[in-house]
Amino acid sequence: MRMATERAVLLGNEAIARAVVEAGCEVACAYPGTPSSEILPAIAKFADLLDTKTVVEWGTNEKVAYEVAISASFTGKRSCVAMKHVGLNVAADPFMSAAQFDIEGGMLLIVADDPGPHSSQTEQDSRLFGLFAKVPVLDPSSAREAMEMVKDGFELSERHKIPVMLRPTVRVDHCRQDVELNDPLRLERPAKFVKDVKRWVCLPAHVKTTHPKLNQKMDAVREEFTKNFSKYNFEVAAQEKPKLGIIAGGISFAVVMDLLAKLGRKDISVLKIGTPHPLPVDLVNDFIARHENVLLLEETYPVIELQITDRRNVKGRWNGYVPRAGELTPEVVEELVCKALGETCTRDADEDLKKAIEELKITPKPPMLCPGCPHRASFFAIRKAFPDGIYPSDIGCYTLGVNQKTVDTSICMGASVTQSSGFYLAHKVDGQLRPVVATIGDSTFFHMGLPGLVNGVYNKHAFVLAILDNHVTAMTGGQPHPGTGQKLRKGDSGRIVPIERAVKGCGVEFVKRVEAYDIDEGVKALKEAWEYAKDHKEPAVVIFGHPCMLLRQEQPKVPVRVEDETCVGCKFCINFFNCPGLVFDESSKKAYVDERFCVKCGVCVNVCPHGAIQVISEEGK
Amino acid sequence: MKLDIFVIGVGGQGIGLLSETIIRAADHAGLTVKGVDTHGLAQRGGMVTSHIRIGEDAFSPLIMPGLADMVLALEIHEALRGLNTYLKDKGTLVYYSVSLQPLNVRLGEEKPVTIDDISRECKKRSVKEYAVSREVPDPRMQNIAILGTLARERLIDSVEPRHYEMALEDLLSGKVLELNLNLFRSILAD
Repeated sequence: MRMATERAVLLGNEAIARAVVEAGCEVACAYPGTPSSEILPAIAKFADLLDTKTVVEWGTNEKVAYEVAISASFTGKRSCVAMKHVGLNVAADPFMSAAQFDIEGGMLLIVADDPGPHSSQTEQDSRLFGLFAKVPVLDPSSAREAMEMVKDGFELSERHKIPVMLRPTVRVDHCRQDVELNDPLRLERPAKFVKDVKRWVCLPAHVKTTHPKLNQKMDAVREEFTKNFSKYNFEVAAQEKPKLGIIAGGISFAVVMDLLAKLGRKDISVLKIGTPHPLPVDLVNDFIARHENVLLLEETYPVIELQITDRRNVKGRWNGYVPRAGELTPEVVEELVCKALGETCTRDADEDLKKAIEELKITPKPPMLCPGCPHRASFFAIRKAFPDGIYPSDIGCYTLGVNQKTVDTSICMGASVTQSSGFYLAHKVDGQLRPVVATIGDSTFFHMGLPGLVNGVYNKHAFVLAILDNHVTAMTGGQPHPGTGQKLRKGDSGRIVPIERAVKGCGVEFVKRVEAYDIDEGVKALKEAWEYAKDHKEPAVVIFGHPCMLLRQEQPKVPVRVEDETCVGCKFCINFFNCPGLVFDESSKKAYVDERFCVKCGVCVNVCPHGAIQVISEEGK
Repeated sequence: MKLDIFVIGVGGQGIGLLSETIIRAADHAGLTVKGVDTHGLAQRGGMVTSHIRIGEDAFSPLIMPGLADMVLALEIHEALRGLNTYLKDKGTLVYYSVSLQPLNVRLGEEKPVTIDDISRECKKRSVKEYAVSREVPDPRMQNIAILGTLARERLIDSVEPRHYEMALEDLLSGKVLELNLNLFRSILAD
């Protein structure tokens, strides 16, 4: 990648990472999650490029990463932790508690929100979490602004001795633009932990002083945001008497500015808010007082809105004028602005445009597991072994097992294990027993699967846990995890934590590893596991091992074809194996192998109930 | 100059590389440019889109539906979707004419889209249409076929073939770079 000295085109997350390194951050941790995943590797890249000593590590989960980072701040170092919004749910405990401490070195929490959502289980708004914890929040409207906010965030954090949250949304994380590059601050601060029980131990007695002090910090930060941060909070005044005032935060500000240019409106003023918490409420109140008609655009929850003293004239998400869910895309914003103006929206687009897509009905292509993905084979084995089973699952690529009807539930990281306990108990109350087979990925198992497994062993819950070990955190782009022993920087190896040993360490007696591609072996192991679990009233674990296709490891090629004369057109393979390489031809009512996708894994040979999928022998038969 | 380009395809087709190459090429040509990709479940074969905005005045990286000056699509179904959601009338559509059936088509619930469907729509809306069907050595290089067409037809003012090449050199290296550059250059000569 080209690296200019003064400027470069960077991804938003890379720009944020660059600023973190430039700000002199020495300890950075994260757990991957879209849209935040690129931040930590980019911190490593820039730290190496700029020759800073920054330590960069994937934590096993967000709570772990948060606690590692903030402890560095206790010693005076600048630290940073990055995660996606739902990661902050996992890290909520240290986030809430440590907010009350007088930290020493600056600490920046980067939480990437996903309005929409594009690739998450919620579209929660981390700014509201900032309000909950009483932590200052900076909300960038572009990658460039995010870079400045990183640096100001560290300074703000040190001035007020409190962690600061930078809350980019997906459009900032994943936008590309040219940004300015600068030299890093070299702070030369040796780690120095000064013991002080009142400062570092969260005894209830101490909270009686730390909580009021936190409130004072919020007042002081609010005053700063009101007086000294006009670069983030400013008004773009209407050139004519305003018919509408718009308050906008984050990327919504950029969308509004585009819209005003498009509409050529001079009678709309805009107040940009880049510091949504604590809200510079005087600025907002003053703006509201000067406009009879105020529209408030923020993603995704009404966080600015709820902090406004008198919001009776404000049209926002809280009062439902702005939809209470979803991303504020340009088209949504245009409609809202027109509605607030009391005018009809005139779209430039042809009317045909709307009709056409309805006429030629095409629905978005749903995601599928990759051709050759070992999970597909594992799911097939699970369904074959227990057609009447309950299948709790988890967060990762394998949530796409829904396509094979082998994912019945998915709540959040690690819930596959604990839900198995819940399903077991609910049936046990009635004196029933149903096979429960949970699926969890290798990285997710280390992230949050372990406590649930200990719980299942301890409380004697019968279920089968299938750990889908593809040797990588695949969904988020291929990060390593403890089971791989690799660390973030290439050549920087950690120690492997074998999944088998972790499972046994939790107290599980039945652990069996199978080759995921071998459906028969998988079915056999699953049945044995369930027998064991039933007999002993405890969890049994089957590890399905096979490397992720995205790791592109060499494997034997087994070319296959569908025999026309044997295929009865039942679509069983499409419904329950669901491989992009197996396609149904409507005219002949037969399945066929689409060579463009087939990676010749050969697994589907064991899928067709009529034996129509056959290996092509060397003679070409 | 103002040019909004909407890029659409399915995961694994190299949308990310295509759009980043265009962004960097525009940057090398001295244009102000920004863009955003939707990643999501991209690697798992889902729909992938990318917005590219060239020009001084773009604040947000997002294009308004129906207002893109150009749509680049790497597949027929997605070409139709791009055409009917983002492209303005009299705009430009460049698409690779391969068909990857969505699941509902594969299950026989919907009928597949054909090149004729697209041509008919383009005519109706006075859209300039470039159907790219050039053979490529690897399906993952269909994005270069699109890039080559952009460069050969000079579809982005002031971005010259050498700018695209510089961008490819920024992003790729070794054998992969060589293969992609060779293909790019051979398309220029078509």
